[in-house]
Amino acid sequence: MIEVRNLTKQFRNTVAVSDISFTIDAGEVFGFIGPNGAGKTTTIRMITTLLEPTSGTITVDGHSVTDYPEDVRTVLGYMADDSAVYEGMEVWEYLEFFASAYRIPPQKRKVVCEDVMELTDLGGLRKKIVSELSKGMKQRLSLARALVHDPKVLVLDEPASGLDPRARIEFRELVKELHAMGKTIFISSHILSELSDMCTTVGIIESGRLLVSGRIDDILKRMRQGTELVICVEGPPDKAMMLLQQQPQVQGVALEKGAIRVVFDGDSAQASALIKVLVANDVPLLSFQEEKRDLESLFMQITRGTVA
Amino acid sequence: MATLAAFKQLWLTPILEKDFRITARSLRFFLFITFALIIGSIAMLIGVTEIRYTSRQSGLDLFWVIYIVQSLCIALAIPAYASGTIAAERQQGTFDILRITSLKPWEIVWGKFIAIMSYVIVWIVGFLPMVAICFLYGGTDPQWVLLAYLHLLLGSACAVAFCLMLSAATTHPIKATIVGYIFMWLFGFPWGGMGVAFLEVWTRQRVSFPGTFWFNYFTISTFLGQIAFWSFCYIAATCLLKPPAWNRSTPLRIWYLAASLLSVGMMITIAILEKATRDDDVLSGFIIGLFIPAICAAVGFCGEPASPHQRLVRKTLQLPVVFRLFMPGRNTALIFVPLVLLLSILLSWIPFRDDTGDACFMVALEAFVFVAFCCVLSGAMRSFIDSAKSRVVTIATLVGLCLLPLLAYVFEDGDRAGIRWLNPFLAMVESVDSYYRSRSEAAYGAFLGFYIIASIVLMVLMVSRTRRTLPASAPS
Repeated sequence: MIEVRNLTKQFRNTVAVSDISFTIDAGEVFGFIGPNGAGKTTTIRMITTLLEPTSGTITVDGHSVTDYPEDVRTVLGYMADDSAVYEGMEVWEYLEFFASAYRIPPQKRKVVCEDVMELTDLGGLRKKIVSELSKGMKQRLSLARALVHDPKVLVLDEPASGLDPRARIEFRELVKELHAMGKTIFISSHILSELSDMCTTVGIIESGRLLVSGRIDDILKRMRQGTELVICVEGPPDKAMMLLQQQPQVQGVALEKGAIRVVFDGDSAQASALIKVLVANDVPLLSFQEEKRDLESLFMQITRGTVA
Repeated sequence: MATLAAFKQLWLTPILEKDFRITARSLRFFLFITFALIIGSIAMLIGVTEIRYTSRQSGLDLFWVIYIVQSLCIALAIPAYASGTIAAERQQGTFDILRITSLKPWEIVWGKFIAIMSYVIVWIVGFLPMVAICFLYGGTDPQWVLLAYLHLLLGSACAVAFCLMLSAATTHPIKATIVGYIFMWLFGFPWGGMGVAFLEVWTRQRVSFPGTFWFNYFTISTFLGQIAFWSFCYIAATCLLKPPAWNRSTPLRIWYLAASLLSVGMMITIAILEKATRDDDVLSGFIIGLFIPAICAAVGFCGEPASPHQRLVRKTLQLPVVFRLFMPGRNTALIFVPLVLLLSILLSWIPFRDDTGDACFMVALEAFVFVAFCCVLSGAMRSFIDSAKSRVVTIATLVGLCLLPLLAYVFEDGDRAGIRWLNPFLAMVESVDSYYRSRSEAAYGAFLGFYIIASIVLMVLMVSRTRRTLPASAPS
């Protein structure tokens, strides 16, 4: 649905985005992750036809953003990070304005606006002036606005920034609902725990370079240099640690907060054999488990905290 | 039907509807029109003290008072509305979400242009009852009045397009507004003549308004110049909304070339006209045409090239070579253009005839009445979008206002007896007028006091109503 090839953006002497490439299939929820100044918003602005790439190509639903920006705009809904809205209008008027701006015929506008208000749970606020809405409601309104022309692709730039926990959860559920409806969603966020719940694929960008992209599980597999095992034993861990260090699949052993952490380069059968060794040597084993790695640990491992 | 729908779509754009909703609900809109009417009233109070209404010329002189005041008020209001409109959207971040809609840049500029011109028309209509009074006192030719308003509308259109161009060139609404005011008042376009008239009034310490002489300057060449100027500003504003070289089907350079060709063509046409007619009046049109390349150059320098290596190529293609040679940078352009504009004022200095007209002191009184009237008009405009009923009332009011001067002209019969039914205000004015004629100063003072108090009460009511309908500030 979205294909980015060798995309570069240069602002005078600064390279904001450098030769990045990734593909997002239809129906995916793609999380675009990176520290501040990494080039996320610049990339998003190029995808949404708001900024001209210095080089490289972007296609959205088969339309080139440089050659056919009008076509791209019809299949793309964009929600900016600052939830900019026209303050002096009513919720209903606001949506109706964008419906007409997207050239939805007048006779269909009412139905369309009703539908998006129902979807985003804004039905009770139709006559409310936009400036009177809370931040969370404004975000919903922005999402409703982005959905008004029923786009195939949704690009959400930091949609949950500045929201309270309840609004974040509600927003996350809304995104999941949209995903279930078959929308392709491109979402950038700093809140990694939320992204790991929503996203099927991710891309991690730093200093304008895309460090990694793909399915979260695949990335974890690729990044994994050895499984980390956490072993707890009754009493002093010295004997267990000595035994573990003697095993050929064990890359390293460390004691952390009373638990033995083992970097293990083996499969499940070899892990089972490891347990047998410990038990056979009368090590009082309390627990033996593989350390699960999440998006956050992956992000911290991959990025170095530099900006473009 | 399709043609009708397309025509309707061209005028009733989504941008117009949106801008009108937001602006018409704002307190600023109401205050502007009220302020304009108050200024008009005060100016007339001061100005007509030396005017007697014994002459048949008095109606025309009164019309000039009204026309100049409303032109100045519009000149004051246009930069405030137009210069910041696109820049403010950019600053607030709403412009991006507008740009990713199906609206094309020309449609955005057109919608904003139409919206601001609608306000101008409201301001003009707000003054029409006063124009009706002018007809009552005689000496005013409807043809002149129509021509004057055509000139004002065209001038306003140019000013709005120019301010929109400024707004499109920057992301800072305050900067755009300041530059808009500087250009408008330095250039004096299209109100240079008004400024001269006021200067004359000021220096001679007495009222002196131009008579029919003024109308000689509403020539075809002036209109052509204004149309060329408007076209250029409009095209430039549209171009500035496009990222450079973004839309491959309509490259930026083509737009600039078209604008340059248009301006050059217009200048040649005006020059030919001047030679053929040997009429000095075409000079003003020529001067207007002269500015187009200058503004073109300024706009070209305000546009940001996409990348350094493309800069030279783009500049070569976009700007007339002669201006590029003289202006190596944006700052130079910003100095050069005002200098050219200043020169134009000196060139277009028009010596007005000292044709002191006669007028009526009563007009000032009527103006106060119309201040109150326009408060109501403003309130009606504000609720225009919200209810079908108020829409009907407002349209009927506007149509009625437009008919007033015409009816006044038709029924003008010397003794003004036949037109009392047209406007209850006029009937009251007649009563006050008779007191004035009979030197009944006390009664006149009582009427004056009544109207002033009524106006103030109405204004206070409208302000309080506006405050109630205004949205509360967003919760923190």
